[in-house]
Amino acid sequence: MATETKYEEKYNEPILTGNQSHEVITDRIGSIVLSQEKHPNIWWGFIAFGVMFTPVLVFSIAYLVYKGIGIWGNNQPVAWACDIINFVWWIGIGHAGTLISAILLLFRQQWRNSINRFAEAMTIFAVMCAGLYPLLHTGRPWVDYWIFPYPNILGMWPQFRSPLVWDVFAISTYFTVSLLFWYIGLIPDFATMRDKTKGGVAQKIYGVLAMGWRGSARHWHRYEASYLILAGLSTPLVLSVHSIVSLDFAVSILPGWNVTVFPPYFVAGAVFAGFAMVLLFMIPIRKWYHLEDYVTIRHIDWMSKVMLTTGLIVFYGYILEMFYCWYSGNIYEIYLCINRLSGPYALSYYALIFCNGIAPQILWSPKMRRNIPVVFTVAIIISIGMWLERFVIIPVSLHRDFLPSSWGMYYPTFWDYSMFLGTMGFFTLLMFLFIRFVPMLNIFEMRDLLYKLNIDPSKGAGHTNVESSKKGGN
Amino acid sequence: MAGIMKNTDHIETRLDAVRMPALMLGLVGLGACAYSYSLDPKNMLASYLYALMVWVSLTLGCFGISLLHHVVRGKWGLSLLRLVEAGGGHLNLLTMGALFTPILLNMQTLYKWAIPEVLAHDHVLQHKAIYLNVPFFVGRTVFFFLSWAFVAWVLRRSTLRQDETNNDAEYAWRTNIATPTLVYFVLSITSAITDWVMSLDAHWFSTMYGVWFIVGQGLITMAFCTYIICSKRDCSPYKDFVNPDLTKDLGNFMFMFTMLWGYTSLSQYLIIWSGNLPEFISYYVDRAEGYWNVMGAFNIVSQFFIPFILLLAPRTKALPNMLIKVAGWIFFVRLLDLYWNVIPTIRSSGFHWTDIAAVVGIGGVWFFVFGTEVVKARLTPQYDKRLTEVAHH
Repeated sequence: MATETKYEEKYNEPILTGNQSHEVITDRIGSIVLSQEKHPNIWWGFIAFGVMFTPVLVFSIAYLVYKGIGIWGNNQPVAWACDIINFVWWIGIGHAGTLISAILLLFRQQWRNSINRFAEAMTIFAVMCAGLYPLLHTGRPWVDYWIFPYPNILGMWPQFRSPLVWDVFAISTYFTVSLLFWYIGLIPDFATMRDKTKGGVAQKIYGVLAMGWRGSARHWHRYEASYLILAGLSTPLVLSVHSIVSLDFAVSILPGWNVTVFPPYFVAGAVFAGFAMVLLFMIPIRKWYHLEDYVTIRHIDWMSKVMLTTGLIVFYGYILEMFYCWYSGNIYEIYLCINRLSGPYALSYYALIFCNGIAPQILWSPKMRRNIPVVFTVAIIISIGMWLERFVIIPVSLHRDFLPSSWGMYYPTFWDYSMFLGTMGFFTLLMFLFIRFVPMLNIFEMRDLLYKLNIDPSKGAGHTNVESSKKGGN
Repeated sequence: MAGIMKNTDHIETRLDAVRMPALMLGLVGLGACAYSYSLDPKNMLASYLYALMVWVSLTLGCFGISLLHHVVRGKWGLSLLRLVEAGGGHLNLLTMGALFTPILLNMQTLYKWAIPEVLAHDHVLQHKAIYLNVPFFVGRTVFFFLSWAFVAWVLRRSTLRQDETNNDAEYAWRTNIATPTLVYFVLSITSAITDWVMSLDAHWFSTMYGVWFIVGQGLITMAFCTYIICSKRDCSPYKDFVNPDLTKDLGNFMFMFTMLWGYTSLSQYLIIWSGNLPEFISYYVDRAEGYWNVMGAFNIVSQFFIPFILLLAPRTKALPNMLIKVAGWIFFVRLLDLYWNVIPTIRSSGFHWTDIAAVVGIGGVWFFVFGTEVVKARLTPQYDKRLTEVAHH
């Protein structure tokens, strides 16, 4: 029993630490926006990276539009390649944001409060990067509006039985709802920023963004109601968006794509990748901006647990794929597995199993979940692994199909790489601009959390937070 | 054994009252099955397999929910822990395993791949024979039931011990066991359901099937527990903690599983339907003929839309009387859904009276064991006071 108490004490860290009060919270988070001095030099480094690579993206797109998608490595039989891999990769990353902000809200998980804003911003920027790929892959992006069903003299009508059309609706809805959700959550904090800024253009801008928020009871009532409705709307979107992305593949009759478990398996993979990306950004940022009191070890522990769970689901998917490939007794299905295991891209399959199947297993250990370098490394490995997963599913399934005479290889070109790097630069630029100009943690939800921990310590994560938050309240 | 002596939880709830009537009904039902077996073994075995799937899914669902509770330790789990411990306990798992005997002794009647002459002319089946062969099939079934029962027994012993000693070390011990078991649970059920139901048509397969079955287990189990808790809400100890907060949680769990059921069923259907490949579509072609089609359509409405709309309303989840009806409905339509999944592959003629006899027979035995087990412990864990703490607020 003695050892057990020690265990509980050791692994039940608080979700809010330090000497906190409402003023302290407002100041600690708000001042990052209000004062450039709060930003370490490394912020300039990332902005420089963003500023350097965003033009690469712009140039890649311009050249693509000028020359056509032949500049990419895609060709028969691998007609879908890096563009679709990157599309799925980016859209998957967005899912952590929606899961944290909507589903964890409905599950009444208070630890979400300190990371939701950040993760939601990631969602929006990731969806922007993702959306570029299919829009450009149409080949004639200037007529992309044809995918919308509108009355026209061309007699053109989208094929509603195609999941590619469902994608258009799923992703545009997802983007709209995520943006609204993020913005509504920001309004009270924009008002705080408006009140804390000392005049000037900044105050005007924050004032406009705050939409006249005065914090009256009526405002709060409407805020709470609309926030809950948006959470309810977002929840099915978490499932539907990536399920529909998975259907892009699954409704075909290609071995390796026509897999019934794809929808839930893709959703789990998306959450898995999303949490890895949140950790990848959150771990260094909490250190550079001294936010350890708000994003505590407890948060990292929880996020690691989510990563482990979703990782196990993804691994279960790999096992199902392999087992039923064999069980099918169908030569094409069986060959698909043989090709994955010993074909020219076998290395990517083994790397995938290592990255998504084996490496995350280290997170079973509570000690490792609290070891920040370990968690950070695992998050990097998972981000690579999830890219590899889409590589294994897309080009590796395509390059050797039913007829050996039509087999071929896929090699990405310079433009495949430049566009991917460009989206990374664009994403980084947006993330670091967000950190600079918008409170990256939710100020009022943190104040609310502090209040709740003070009146009802049992709602916190562990007994130690009672002490710390009480101290903060004094 | 002082814990049992002090146990006053069952004076009002009387969950064990079901034991003897259930056993009688069970014996009558099984007797009828035995009689029918002598007339028409195939029809009876089809009904029997179906009935087993119903009660095995409830048993495994109970076991799975108890594993989940030990992993996440949520407050909601405390209200139903003792019900799922009894329903998915080692005794029920072993009983269900034992009731598999008639199937295991008559493999060739139900499973075409077990017939040597069929096997000799089918190279796909020959390919699968390493996995799908009678000894391995029997071995897997026996091993799965023994392993599940063993873990259920270990966990149950631990919660009972903690009731007496109040030793917090038991929490971590159970979590450490339940977490890897949950992984094993998913893998083993995927394999088991492939054997028991999917291999009825050994050429057909779907990677979603295991997930679909696990979701169905969760749904039937939550309906079962919600039904008991809400119908006994005026009895001690339930009256101390059944409040709108708890019924909302229970309702939301059913809601979640209903949506997951819809999600997995739709995904599987959509992918197979649009692929329209001969080897996959056979499953839905079998079920698109005659009244199977009507039943399938009824399943969609009854198992998704009706509970979905009812459970979406907060009012339903605040009124235990309403929740009982929804839970009872879900339990009933789970029976139909499993029927629609198991029977069409074996017989095209549809309903046979043994279907009911088998469900009653095996169900009677199930409730007998459940009633016996549930009175052996308090109805709520005594070591965790979170349920009653809230009641005092």
